[in-house]
Amino acid sequence: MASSGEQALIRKVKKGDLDAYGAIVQDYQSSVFNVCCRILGNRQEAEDLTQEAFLRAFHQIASFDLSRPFGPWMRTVAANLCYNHLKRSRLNRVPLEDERDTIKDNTIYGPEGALEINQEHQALYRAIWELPDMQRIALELRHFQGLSYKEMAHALNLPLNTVRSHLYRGRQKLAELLEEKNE
Amino acid sequence: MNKGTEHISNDILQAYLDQDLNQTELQKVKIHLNQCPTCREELTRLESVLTKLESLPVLKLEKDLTSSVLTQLREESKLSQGITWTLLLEALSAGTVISLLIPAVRAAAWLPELADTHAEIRAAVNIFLTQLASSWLVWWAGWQLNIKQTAKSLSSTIFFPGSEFSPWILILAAGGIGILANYILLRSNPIRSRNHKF
Repeated sequence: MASSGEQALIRKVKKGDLDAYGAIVQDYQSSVFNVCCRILGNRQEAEDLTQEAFLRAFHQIASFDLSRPFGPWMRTVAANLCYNHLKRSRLNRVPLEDERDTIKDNTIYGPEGALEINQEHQALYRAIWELPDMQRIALELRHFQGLSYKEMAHALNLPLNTVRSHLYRGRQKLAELLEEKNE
Repeated sequence: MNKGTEHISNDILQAYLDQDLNQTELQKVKIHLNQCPTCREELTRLESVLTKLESLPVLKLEKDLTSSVLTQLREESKLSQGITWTLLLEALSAGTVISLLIPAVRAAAWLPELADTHAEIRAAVNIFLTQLASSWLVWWAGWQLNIKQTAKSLSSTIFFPGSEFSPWILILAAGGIGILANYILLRSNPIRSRNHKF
């Protein structure tokens, strides 16, 4: 459940108060950006999608249940947006261009980020971005957003068994990729 | 998986990790794990992946996105109010024209008269014309804009920005003109019962 201060802010947002929404964006932009980064593997795309997620969340705020925490709802909106973005770009993408720029360099971590994030974590990020899109999204929703299988199926509009299968394969593949990188 | 010889399938092991097994399955897996070092090792391998994921540091957002999000929302809001204004004015004009046109057509009734038709056919033509006009208006309004967005915009707008003039006054005015036009029409040409014999 959202804190009482946050609930008051969201009530104002529901009435169209943009200043109140500004405070919400300020609080959640970093976590939403991280969701987009983990799914997209590209800093610029992640920033764009973070903004878009907040715009979408504002328009959908009427459907937000105040008895539930805002953070997971907001991050699920972002994850869903990234999922649709990947689906769209997959249709337009030339196969050879599929490899993400950010896997080749360290720009995703930010100008000073590469110094702050150790080699092991960089390897983990790279392994996550090498996963097939659906497996990466399933991992995001399950392990970073703590969604149940049922909630994941609802968020992605996919059958429960399909979601479960993506998650299992994703974890298995991630373990293999990390082992390869350690060798 | 069977008693001690066959290993736990990867799916069952992952379901165990997610606590997604029923009591019977859970007991079977626990018993097997106690006896099988290979499956224990596989479980540890998967668990270590999850531990690593939990330890992943957050990436720093280099710029504050608040102002750009709010700017975009303000621009959308301006656009939405512009659409609302346009819709209201156009609807008012269209409503006024239709309100004046219907009594005029009915009073003149030139088209059915020319064909020398019966009064009931004349009434049917008039009803048809009215329905055609209102259907056109509904279709046109729906095509012009996103109805939901306008309804939302209207419901949250008490006054137009920078003035104390409410959009509801326009809506009431349009309704008022419609009622007045119908009153004039009914006074000059009262509706006759369909069962009335001419």
